[in-house]
Amino acid sequence: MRRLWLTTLLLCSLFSPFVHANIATLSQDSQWLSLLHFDRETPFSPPRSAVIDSAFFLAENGRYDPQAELEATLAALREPPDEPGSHASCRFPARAVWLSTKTGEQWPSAECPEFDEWQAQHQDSEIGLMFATGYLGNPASFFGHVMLHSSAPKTQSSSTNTQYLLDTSLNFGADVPNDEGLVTYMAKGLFGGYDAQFSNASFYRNTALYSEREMRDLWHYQLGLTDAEKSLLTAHLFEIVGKDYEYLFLSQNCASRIARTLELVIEDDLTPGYSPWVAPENLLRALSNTTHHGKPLLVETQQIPSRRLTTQREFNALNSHQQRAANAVWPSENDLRMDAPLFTVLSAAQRSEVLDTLLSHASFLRQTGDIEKLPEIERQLLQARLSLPTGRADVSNEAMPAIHEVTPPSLVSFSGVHNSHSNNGARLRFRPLQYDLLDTNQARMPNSAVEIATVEINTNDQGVSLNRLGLFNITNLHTNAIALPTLPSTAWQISAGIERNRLSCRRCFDGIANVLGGKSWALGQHLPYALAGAQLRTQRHYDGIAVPMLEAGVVSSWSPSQRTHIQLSHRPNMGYNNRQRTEWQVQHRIALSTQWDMRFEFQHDYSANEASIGLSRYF
Amino acid sequence: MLKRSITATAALLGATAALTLSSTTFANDHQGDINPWQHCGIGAAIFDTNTTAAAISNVIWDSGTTAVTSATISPETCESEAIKVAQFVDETYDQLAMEAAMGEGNHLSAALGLVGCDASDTASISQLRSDLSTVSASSNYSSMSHNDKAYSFYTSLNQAAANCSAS
Repeated sequence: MRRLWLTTLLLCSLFSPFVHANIATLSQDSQWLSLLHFDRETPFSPPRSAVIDSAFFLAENGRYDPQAELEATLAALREPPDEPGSHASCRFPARAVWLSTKTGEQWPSAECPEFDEWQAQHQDSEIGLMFATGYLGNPASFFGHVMLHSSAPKTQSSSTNTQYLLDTSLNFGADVPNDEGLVTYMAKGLFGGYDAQFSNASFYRNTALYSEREMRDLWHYQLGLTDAEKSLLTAHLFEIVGKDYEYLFLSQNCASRIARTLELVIEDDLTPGYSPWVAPENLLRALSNTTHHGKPLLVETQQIPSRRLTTQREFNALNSHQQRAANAVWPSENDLRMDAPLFTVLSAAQRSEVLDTLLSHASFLRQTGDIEKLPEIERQLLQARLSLPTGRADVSNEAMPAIHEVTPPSLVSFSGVHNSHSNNGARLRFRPLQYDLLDTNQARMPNSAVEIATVEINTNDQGVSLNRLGLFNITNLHTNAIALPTLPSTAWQISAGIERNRLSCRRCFDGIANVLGGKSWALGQHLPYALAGAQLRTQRHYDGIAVPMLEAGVVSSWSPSQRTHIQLSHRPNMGYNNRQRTEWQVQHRIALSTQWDMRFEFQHDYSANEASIGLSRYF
Repeated sequence: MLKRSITATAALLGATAALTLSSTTFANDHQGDINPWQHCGIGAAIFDTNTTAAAISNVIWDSGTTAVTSATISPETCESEAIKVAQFVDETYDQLAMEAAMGEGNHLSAALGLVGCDASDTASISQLRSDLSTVSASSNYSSMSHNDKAYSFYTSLNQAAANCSAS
């Protein structure tokens, strides 16, 4: 029997039209390289697949040799089937389809129970992405996270999928041991040492983690792919789920890997292979700018708000009587007064809306603090709500921009500078990532800043010199936006870099690191804050390696395009001879578009004043 | 030979009938048979509790543990559709309880859809609300464990599913 098969295969090979095709050419086809997860551009290493799992390759050196892998795949596909699920067409259904299309060959029919189940689960599914906005609870989450998303097709009678929680997300992430220390985690993340995998899970697990626990908004990006493309992609996802990949936090991460996966059916390079970092935002912007079959690739975006945003919207939708009633019912964290007159006088429908908001707020508090009486408060709210008729108010949601519609993260600016101690000059500023208190917006974490690797270069008649190298500046003012009881939250700021010791000296540099904590308040369009902590520094021009530090300021949002930041800092040099420092600065930003802005800055310290006006380009 | 064919056909028909019966309704599948929280390890920290790792967006999770703790429960039982429902209830209980009290919501719709009920089935929603009202009427509800609350809702959902399939 086996001899008969071999004879048949030999005959097929002899008469196959593919026998005349150029295998070498086919093995360099971009789709074949995508199927093997070869990166398209790799300036620092020879081409290779990002998959390190030997089960993913049929040729011994398939990870490095796409032609050998193609030949081995063709040979395996021509083999007669053996055990159910073991044939190459079962293990690599996307390769089988693609090679069949390219060569015209048909493969022996094989039983593929696992792939059949996968196909049944994802039949007619739409393929898209799910983006989780940035989160300051962990450095790895500062720039957001993106996942592949397979959603059930919308029914003709409904424009929305009411069962979307049961959709499937395919998450690419590093396999991090539970007991990994932070230093090891960061070192391995940046320089290598972790394996990563695509894993699939029901979408409700993502909403439980991102929306309910970490209070991060999710954004669904639906892509306009043809049925054949969706089918090929779905088959390919079956091939790669659970396979081990290389992982580097900056470049071999969720965004770059998903980009490479989508490039199987999208001709464009979604993210450059040579870039030292790829953020999820880069991928989403690329998708939004991509044309596919003459149409925009991005069909639509849909926001899935976090619990915090849901509660905020529900509270804002209440009328003033209801808002006062909500505050009367729940005046402080551990105090619930269901018999508050302001509440009991409301109609049943109005009370329902108040209770819905309070239940949502209780859900928010459950994740953000430890309130002793919260379980009992929730019970009483549930009981009260269950005694009222069903139904929820339609909360008209303010349309919020998606991340690809707001100001991009990289900035380069050119400023004219006047220094009262030296001559006039110019300043070039480059900030590759990500946003500051002036250019942050609704699509990012509210009242926060994430600035990485900011470089400022001065030039004047004395020459070119460094003004500042900011390694990082992470600020979370952590302001409560809802007038309902919450536990006190801490505003904080950590920053490190190299700065001038004083405005009057061009080359008096010292390394500094600030760690500050405090509180902020939301007062309409103004956001005052006060922080206290310490500054650690080198002592080339400072006395003392550590000094206490106070910082206070206010961020005022005059309009969506204009914002001012005033900041005062004080460092009493207790125990050292050097003079104490009180400095202040005012910054004002006018957004000209999502790509351009103008900034005005004024700084003062004991030695000089400095003013600047500049034009910034975001990209 | 004929006898063997008849026997085989009868066995096939029997097996087909058994399969058909076993998949008639979700409610009949398992009702009252097992407690997935006790017997299948549901609720045993599907998400990592390590604060560092749990906060990492890129952390990988598995698709749920189905550790069989009872010799009488087969692994197949703990991989059934019923367990998928139990996992959903376990993971989203707080949202389910809240939305059941309100009478609508995405989690409630998904739960009803999972057990084969219409998302807007008023009888099912009334059943869930009534059961939740009874369970939460006692002040002991505040100190009930998450697993007990989730199992209570799961049981109520089963009953709603039985009513759905009967109507």
